[in-house]
Amino acid sequence: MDNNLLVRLEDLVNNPTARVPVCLCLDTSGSMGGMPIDELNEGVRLFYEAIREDETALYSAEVSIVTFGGNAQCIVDFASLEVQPDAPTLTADGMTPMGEAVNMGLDLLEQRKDEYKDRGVDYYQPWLVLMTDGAPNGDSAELSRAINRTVDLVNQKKLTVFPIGIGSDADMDVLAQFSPKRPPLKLQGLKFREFFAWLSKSVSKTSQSTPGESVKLDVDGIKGWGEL
Amino acid sequence: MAYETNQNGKETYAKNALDSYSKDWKIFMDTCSILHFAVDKFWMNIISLLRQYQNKVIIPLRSIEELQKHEANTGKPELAENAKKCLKVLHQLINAGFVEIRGEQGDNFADNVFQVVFTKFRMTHKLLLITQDNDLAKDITALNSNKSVRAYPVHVKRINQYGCLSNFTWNTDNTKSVRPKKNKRHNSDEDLDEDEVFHICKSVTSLDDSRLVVTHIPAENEIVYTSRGPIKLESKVAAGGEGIIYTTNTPYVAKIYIKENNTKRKYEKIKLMLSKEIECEGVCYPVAALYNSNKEFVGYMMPKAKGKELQKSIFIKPLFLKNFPNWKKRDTVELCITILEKIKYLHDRNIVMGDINPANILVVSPKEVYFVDTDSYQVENFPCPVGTNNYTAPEIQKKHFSDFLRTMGNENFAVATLLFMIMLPGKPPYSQQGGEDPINNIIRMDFSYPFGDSSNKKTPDGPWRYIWSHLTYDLKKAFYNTFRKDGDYSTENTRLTADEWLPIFTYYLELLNSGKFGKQDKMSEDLFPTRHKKNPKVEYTNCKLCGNEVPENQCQNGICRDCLNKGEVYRCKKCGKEILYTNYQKYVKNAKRFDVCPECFEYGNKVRIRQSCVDCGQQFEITNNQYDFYNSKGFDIPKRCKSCRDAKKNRSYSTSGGYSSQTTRHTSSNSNNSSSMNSFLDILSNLFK
Repeated sequence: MDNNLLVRLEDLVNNPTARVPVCLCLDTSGSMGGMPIDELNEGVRLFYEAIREDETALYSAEVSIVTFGGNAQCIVDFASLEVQPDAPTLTADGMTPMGEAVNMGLDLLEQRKDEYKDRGVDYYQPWLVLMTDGAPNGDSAELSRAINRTVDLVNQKKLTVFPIGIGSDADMDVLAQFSPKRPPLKLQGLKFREFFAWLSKSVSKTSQSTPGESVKLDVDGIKGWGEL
Repeated sequence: MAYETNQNGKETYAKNALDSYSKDWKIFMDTCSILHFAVDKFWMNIISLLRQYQNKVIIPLRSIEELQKHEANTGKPELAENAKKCLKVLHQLINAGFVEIRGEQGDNFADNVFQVVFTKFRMTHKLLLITQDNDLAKDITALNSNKSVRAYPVHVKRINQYGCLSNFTWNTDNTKSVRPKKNKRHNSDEDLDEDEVFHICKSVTSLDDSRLVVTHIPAENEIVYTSRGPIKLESKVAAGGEGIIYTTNTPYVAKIYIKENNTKRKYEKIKLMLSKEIECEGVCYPVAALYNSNKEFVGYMMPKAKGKELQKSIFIKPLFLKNFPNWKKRDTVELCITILEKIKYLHDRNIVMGDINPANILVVSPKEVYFVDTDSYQVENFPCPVGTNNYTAPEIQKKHFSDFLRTMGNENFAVATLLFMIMLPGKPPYSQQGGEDPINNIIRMDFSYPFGDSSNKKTPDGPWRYIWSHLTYDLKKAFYNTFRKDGDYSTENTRLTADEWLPIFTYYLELLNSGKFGKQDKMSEDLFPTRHKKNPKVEYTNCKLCGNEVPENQCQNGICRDCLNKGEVYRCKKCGKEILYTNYQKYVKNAKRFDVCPECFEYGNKVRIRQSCVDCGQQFEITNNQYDFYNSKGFDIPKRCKSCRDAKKNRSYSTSGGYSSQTTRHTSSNSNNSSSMNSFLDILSNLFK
């Protein structure tokens, strides 16, 4: 793992495929403990697996994971799943500093986009998946900054955001503030696997298009895991 | 149906050809022709002629043996069944005197027999070989180029869907081995009859695109009908957005449209496509329309494709190396030629492929590729309704593909892009450093690869600039002038045609095959060179670290630039961040490997406390490093400045002599010259001992 930095840089320049950067911003606060975190882990694992199995997506998708449980933390920095093939195992603990986590995710996305540009790598506008089962209780200024940044990017078509609530305590109003274009969705029960299967299919579909082309999201497929 | 009358004229023509062969040619046939799905029709066509001219079709004994082997092949019941049927037919034909078996047991294999027989007897007889095998056909045709003996021409034909004989695509052009020089646009289209070529139209068909009524969409194991008879759909091969592809009980596959895509426009387009005899090895062009039992149009039949999509083989390096581990540059060049020849065949007939993209071309080998999704091709006033950004010419970006007809000029942009992305495997021509999105780069025609002294200095990082530098001058010139704004071939009407690209690539292939190119720089023969092409004026040396051959003047201490920028990656002992200790620092600067990252280093040297010495009253400073050190050792933060501390220490030495000398060294070096790198390194090396 020590030469990770070099491998990542080499992969960046050697691989001509246009990238789909996906940042998973996941709630791992204490309330996610037990079944929810297990199902979330399983969902993320299946997501990794599904992308690895699709030859186009494998060389196109780049995943980073930021968790918020106690503090905001970058668990996985952007790289293709060929470079870092294994899904991390998340544990649930602590508070819900959502704003800090989203800001961190957006920073990572910006940084990665700059790296693409510096090296002459084509990319698709990034995706941000925001999942929570509660209400943010981090710094309120950080939260409003995160919301403003996200909304600006979405309105400039520079970001696709998927805010998803888990369970009845999820603060759907806050999630709605992150998503100016469509209402946030609620996960049916603990259908993480269904959600991540849908997400990997959407990534695959995007990876088969050309950057700049509009790719229709599989709206019907959402019914398999989400509800308004 | 309108096209059938059209077809009649063609059939008469084909039958006349058959007539002249039957008259006084020796006709040979190979195994794959005997097994051809239209062979029955062929026999029906030729028997009366054979009878009339008292001629026979000659089949090598070895082919009969092959058929018998197929017949016994339980692993492939379908083939066995077909072989059995063909043997039965042959038996009858032999008895009736229309077929003759020649040869002895133990002839190697049939293909070899043809080589020997044709070489020998072409002096005395007019010889015709009927085969479906492209390579064999090429080999036999090549006998004609041997001019040292006076001989009759050897002909090679294949059986087509109508049971008549037709040319192999490439032997319509007899001057193939000597390619026309550039800008000499004459070529085989002169040989094409007008009725083999589609018209060029100005506006999109007004036929409406509404769905046809289809009472039943056939699926696996059901029967569908061509105008010539029933065909059975066997297993599903693939399912796409438009329809499902099935194998059939013929060598062809069937595409059955899903309800939403089965439109009047589609039906008329397929009929139009079928009205010309388009046969090009590897182009999976419709061969027959398919109907259900209610005579409703449901899809079409086409040759079966093989191979891997360009996108999933050539265009991603790890997949490229996995799928074609033995390829060299010559193979990608040859692949371009193979693809260009097919494109030329289509363009000569005014077929615009439209949606040229790496998912629609499958590769088996440099010589064998398949074009799929041919029903989207633009013919006459039926547009190609799809396309992808990268392959879309600047003048038609952001337009709806179904609303206009593409020109050959538009198409030639896609051809150039495809060639570029094969030669720089997977890299779109307009990817560049600091680039906007690809669409805007295409519209602005901001091409970033250098030619001569011109460059926008935004060439993508990594192997791309190396690969580019190793291309031939002609090819770089052609790409540059095509993609760069105001280049000689940069507009719709000036872009190079497939026919004009071909000599550039055949010349390239000759250079590589003959070893001439490799003589200048062996690395030019590799797919992924690791440095720029050698400049004859520059001295080269092997890098001490990677062993690659590199310009000497770019090396320092015998290490190449790439390696100098690489090095060892480790984590900062303080914050855990990844740090790169480059080979430049290590071997050129002989710098020490820092244990902490620059941020932590800077933090450590920042002054934390500024206070007055309790003894002399002078101001002195405590840095973060010092502070952390004292804390970690459980010592109090000093209240005296360095010199007072030293003085105090000397006193205590003289009295008790008991202070730990190691600590002394620490503190003394600490305060001596706290900002200098050396002392910092000393501290660190002590700290982390």
